[in-house]
Amino acid sequence: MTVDQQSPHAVSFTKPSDLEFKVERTFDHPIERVWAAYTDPALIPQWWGQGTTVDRLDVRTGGGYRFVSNPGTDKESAVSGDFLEVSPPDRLVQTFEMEGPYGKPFTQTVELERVGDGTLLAITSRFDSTEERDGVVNYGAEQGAIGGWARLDALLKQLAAA
Amino acid sequence: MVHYSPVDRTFAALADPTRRVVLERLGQGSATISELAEPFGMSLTGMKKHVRILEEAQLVATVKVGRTRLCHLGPRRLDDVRGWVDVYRQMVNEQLDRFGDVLDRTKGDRQ
Repeated sequence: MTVDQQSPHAVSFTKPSDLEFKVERTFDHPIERVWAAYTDPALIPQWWGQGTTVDRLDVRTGGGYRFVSNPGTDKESAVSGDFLEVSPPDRLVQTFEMEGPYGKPFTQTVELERVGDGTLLAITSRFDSTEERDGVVNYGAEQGAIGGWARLDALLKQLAAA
Repeated sequence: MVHYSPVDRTFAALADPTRRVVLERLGQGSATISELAEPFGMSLTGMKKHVRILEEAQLVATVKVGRTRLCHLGPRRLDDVRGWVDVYRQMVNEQLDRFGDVLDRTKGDRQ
């Protein structure tokens, strides 16, 4: 997989503050459709990755979600959270927690905006400390998106096998 | 005073390229501080500092043997770190593109 920075659909990555990182992308679909697809439990397994199944999804303020990745394998993991604010079709605020010893909840704000006939989708993740945010994004962004992740991945695989 | 959680420590420890190379090296077997410092042309004091950070993150453990300190991989389960890292990698690099594919593919099928 490569990232084409010239493409109008390229994923942009920014750090709007000391505690946040933000990923955004435009889609050639109307905002209502993007919102509906983003919150559709039947579609989430198709884009979330890692064989994810939806254990729970209740998209309303005060509701929550739980997604299980690689279910039934030794790599099974789960993420879950609460919906703090749900305002279709342009705003959703949720907590996000990876369950287990490394889990530490943070807040994600999902914003949708009409751009021409399409939609700009932006996800801002906000952490408790700059250190935590930077630890997380160092691999994804500063070291050159894919390459950095691939290298870390290879390293972790090697270490796990050692 | 800043309190670092285990995950902060782990990511802070892994964020430095020198420390990643040290982990890679220790994956092949234990080594002394001077053996770790040598390929970097680094002072023993500089390498000790890196090893201490890795030790605090439990990625490395050390044992004093005579006058030298022997380093080896620590008790932290890197598979756990990896699962966590995977989630973020997906979030940053892959999920939105896959979501775009799903939107294109299901065009007209759903509201």
